[in-house]
Amino acid sequence: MSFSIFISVLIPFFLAPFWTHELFKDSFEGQKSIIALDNAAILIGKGDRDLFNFIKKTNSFVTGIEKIHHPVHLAIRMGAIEPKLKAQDLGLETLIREIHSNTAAISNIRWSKSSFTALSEFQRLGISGNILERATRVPIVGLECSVCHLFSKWEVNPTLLKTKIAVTNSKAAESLYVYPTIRGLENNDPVNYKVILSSEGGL
Amino acid sequence: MKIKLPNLKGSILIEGCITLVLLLFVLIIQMETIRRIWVGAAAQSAAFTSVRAAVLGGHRYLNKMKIANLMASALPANRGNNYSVKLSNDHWDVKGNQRMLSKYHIKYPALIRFREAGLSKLNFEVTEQCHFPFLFRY
Repeated sequence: MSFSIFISVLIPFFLAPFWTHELFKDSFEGQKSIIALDNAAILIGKGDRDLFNFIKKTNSFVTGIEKIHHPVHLAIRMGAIEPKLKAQDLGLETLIREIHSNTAAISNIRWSKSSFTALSEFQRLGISGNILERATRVPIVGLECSVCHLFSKWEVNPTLLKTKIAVTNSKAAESLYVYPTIRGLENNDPVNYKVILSSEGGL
Repeated sequence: MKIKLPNLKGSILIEGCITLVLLLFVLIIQMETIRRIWVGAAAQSAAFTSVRAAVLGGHRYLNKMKIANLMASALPANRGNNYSVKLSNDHWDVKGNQRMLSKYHIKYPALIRFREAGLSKLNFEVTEQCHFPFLFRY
């Protein structure tokens, strides 16, 4: 075979891998963006699940302390004047206040941490154009105890629980909602999370 | 001294004809290969979209519409080409491994069809599948 035939026939063969590579590249980049979005949503969901389970555990711990505190507190209100009881009451109230404020601080840090972890997943896979819509602070409100009137436990604010996470770049445009499935922080059901396509409208 | 060259006119003509015929075959093969890869990429994207939507609890009708739009944009039915697309076996849960599978099968007409010559190869078929590696258990 002469050189001209060789060149004429082989040039398209050499070019073919480049063409087919370009064909698959767009599909690959789009799927990579969507997988990064799914990973980020899962990381947010896991972070929220751990966070709200932590708050539930703290609430149950505070309930245990209240079982000791309330008789002491009521005894003092009924007129008991022993200094030992007063010291116990003061100590338990300080402990409850510390737990209450520390829980809020730790929860806010964990809430922000799961946001950053999710965004770092996009960074890791080199995906641009990501959007995270989420409450800036963890959506919990303090509950006042009806006996000792201390803010001891936390309850969730369900209107701010929803997190929207989206990716919008030239390869893919998709968004997801992440919800922690909570029926209140006072019951014993463990918290889990749910990821839903935003086209489904969410909750 | 005069050098006598052989008469090359005839051989160049024959070589040119052979080159053109071979080039034509190569181009046809390349076009078919690129179409095959194009259709494969479309089927793979559809399988991925389908199984992901199923895992994330997407509405069945909306998912079908989404994939129909994807296919319509990826496989234009021009020149009377009929791309028959079907989701074979729907997406199903692979037992024990907690993952889902979606399989798309596309049948598309060959670029050159020798219907008159009695050749049976009129269509090509592509099957692509996508395993989603996990299921959400609420």
